[in-house]
Amino acid sequence: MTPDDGALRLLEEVGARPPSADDPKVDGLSPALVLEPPDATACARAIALCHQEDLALLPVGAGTRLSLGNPPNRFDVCLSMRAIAGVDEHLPGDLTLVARAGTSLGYIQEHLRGAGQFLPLDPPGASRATIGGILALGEPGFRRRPGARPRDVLLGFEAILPDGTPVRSGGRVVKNVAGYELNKLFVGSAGTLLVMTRAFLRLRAIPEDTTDVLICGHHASDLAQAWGEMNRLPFAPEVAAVLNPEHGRRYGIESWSLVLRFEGLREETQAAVEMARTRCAPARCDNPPSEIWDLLRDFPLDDESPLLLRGQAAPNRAIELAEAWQDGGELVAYPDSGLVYSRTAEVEALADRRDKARLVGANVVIERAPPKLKQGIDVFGEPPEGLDMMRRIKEKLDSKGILSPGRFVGHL
Amino acid sequence: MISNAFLERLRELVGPGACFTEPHHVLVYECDGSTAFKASPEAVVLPASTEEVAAVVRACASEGVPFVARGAGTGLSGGATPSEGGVVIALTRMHRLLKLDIANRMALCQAGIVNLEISRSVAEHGLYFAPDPSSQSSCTLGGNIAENSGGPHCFKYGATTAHVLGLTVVIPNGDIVMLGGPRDCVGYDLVGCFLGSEGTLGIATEALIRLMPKPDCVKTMLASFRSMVEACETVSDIVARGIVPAALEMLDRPTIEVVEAGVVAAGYPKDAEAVLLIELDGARFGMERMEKDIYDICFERGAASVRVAQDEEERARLWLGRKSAFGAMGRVSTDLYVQDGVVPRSRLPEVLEKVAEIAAKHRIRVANVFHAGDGNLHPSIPYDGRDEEERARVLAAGSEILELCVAVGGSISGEHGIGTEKVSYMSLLFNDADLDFMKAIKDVWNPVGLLNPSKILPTSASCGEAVHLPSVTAVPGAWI
Repeated sequence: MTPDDGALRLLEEVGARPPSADDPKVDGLSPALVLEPPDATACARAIALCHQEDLALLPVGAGTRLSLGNPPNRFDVCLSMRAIAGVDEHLPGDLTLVARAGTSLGYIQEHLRGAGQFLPLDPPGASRATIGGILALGEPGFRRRPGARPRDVLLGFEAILPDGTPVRSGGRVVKNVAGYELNKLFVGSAGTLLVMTRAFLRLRAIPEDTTDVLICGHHASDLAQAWGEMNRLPFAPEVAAVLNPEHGRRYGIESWSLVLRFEGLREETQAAVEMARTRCAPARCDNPPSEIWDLLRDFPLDDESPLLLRGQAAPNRAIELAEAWQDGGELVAYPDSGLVYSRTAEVEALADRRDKARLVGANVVIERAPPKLKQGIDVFGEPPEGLDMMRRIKEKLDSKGILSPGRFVGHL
Repeated sequence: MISNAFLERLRELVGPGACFTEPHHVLVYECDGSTAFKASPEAVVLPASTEEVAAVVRACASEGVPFVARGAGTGLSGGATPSEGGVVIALTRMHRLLKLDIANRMALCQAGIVNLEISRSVAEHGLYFAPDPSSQSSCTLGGNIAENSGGPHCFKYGATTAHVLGLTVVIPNGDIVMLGGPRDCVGYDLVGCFLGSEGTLGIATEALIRLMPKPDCVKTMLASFRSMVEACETVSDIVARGIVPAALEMLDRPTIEVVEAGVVAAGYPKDAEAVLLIELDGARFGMERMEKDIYDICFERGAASVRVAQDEEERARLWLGRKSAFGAMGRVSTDLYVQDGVVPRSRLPEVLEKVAEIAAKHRIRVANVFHAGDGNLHPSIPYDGRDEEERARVLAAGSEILELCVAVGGSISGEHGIGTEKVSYMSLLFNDADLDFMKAIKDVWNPVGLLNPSKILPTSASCGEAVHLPSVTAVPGAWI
């Protein structure tokens, strides 16, 4: 459906412009117009206008993860949030921060560094990605442990509903049970329920010490055993990632490898390294290359491979899934969350990987694929529990279906 | 008025021994720990399975009878208060741990299982359930889910929402829906949305919960101070230094006096204006240095003394004093009004001073025992509920304390919930659009409104109206 010319003219009156070559495309589609409101008030006005004129809009931050999602049913307006940026409040004594949605995570971390604090999120494209986009996707990056996921750090928000109404949820304090937990509903909703304009965030102190350990084994099962040992330590690693040999070769590692990051007091991290050496034998222990975390963080962004899959398994089956998927591409598995990312040049490998995932009870999300492959399927895989309730929530908040229509799970 | 035919139907659904209608049987279901809110249910049913809960809910829905779920009834905001003439669905017969997955550190439990029983059941595997509200020896998992319960250790480990992975929920039309699960899920975070919804979105009957490995080392320290301000500043310094204790709890002089005069005297210094209970847990490596850092911070801030519990018995005693502080208040008054506000941690000193000013203005006594690390205050006001004039002063003071919390950027509830008690205070925090947003979500789950009506959200008539003083009391002996 082509948007009405009159409606588009109305939007141009509030600053919308035609897209340029630099503006993002989504699954090969370009919007009719791009809007970049300077503040939350202008954002509300723009969304209300889109609602009134029934124009479909996609909120976009830095555009680092636009490959994720079903192709939109409609894409009339690209709502760029990048101008609504800046840190409004940082209370070091309370470990809290208020940032506008378009603020990049890199800027936030830089802002916090002087106070010895940070936001414990490491999504792909961390320096460029905006806090609004990170929270909307709910993507923590390689940190997967409770306490360091987007749902844990968001204390409250200000947002615009699909009809243009500004609302607030939660608060700025670290403990709060007043009203429904709509923060949780927003995180991971991928721009389909509302457009966040400001986030109230919980911070952490930068740990005294960070130490990495690399454990190598001939087989994936060696690493499953090593992970079992490390997971029994009195302090769990903050991050744990398993790489197949094909992926490891990028870093000069020829075998299966388990990379661990410990954060905490020096005594803890040193003890962790010592225990890794003694408990994980005969697996070999080493120091990983220093750049490995930056590269692992951005693993989903490397678009050399046309197909990027995310397997979702029970945590104790992640390494099993990695083993089943080991051939024909690079992969990284996160055994504490059960997620396995696999990228391959062989688009036809999809069916086989899905079959193998089913055998270990895992779901497969297609994070990136050629637009043609995404047609007619749900890239999020099996319908999740509660899909009917999700549909009802979407219809209640966005009755006209103007916010990122069709992009989400079940084509919501 | 419920028909006899409907009552008969309920008896058929759950069995005659699990359905009560006699006034003396339903009496204890009139209220939760917040005894000022009472209503007499027409029937109380105790289903034994999710299917029985669903059948009861379907029956209520088809008859248009309001209903509410209930665990142990330890809540402190009137969240489980039934509707007059409605049905109470008590989940206490559904108290089993159904499945333990040690490899993934997860357990599937029925909602009526007692919080502490979960930890006891998995202790032999070196695991425990982290949320530890002070009522944990009696409160149920379902109640923890409804209230998103915290407890002293949620400072480090997060409230219940951080520990629930999946739910089986009976929604108000009687359908059974599964939410979340053992693996990372796609879609909206319905489990997160459900947690803390105070039994207004559905009835959780089973939950897949996350278990934690027991720390291999625990140290409990008691620091005494000559002023509340020094104690509060110590809390800020500890947190700002990057130390994350498992718990940071504070008791002021009036509380210390009551605790030490009671049967559970914990050994708190009687001449202190405030004591800080600081618990460290985790790996033994580095614990000594962390302990020393805390010593140094305490003394830099003027602590009169700092001591470490030397054995498990002493540690348990220090905690018993904290956890039974509210019970001990029963020594000094017939009634106790307990507030539950939150303020930014760095504002604690000034807020506590203002709370004292409010108390003086209204000629009341205030005892403070609270989760200092989270800035979660529990000003407690002992009074005689038979004295109407005193009661009015107490309520006026409580209201001003909540307004103060909001004015400094805080919240009206940190863990007790809104329930019935604080419905009229919601407009202090949220405007009409915010409340309509919440109502829109509630309406998706609970469109007819028969499930736990009149909780959390003001009715449209009261929305935006001036705050009304509720009549709120907690029984002395309640756990906070």
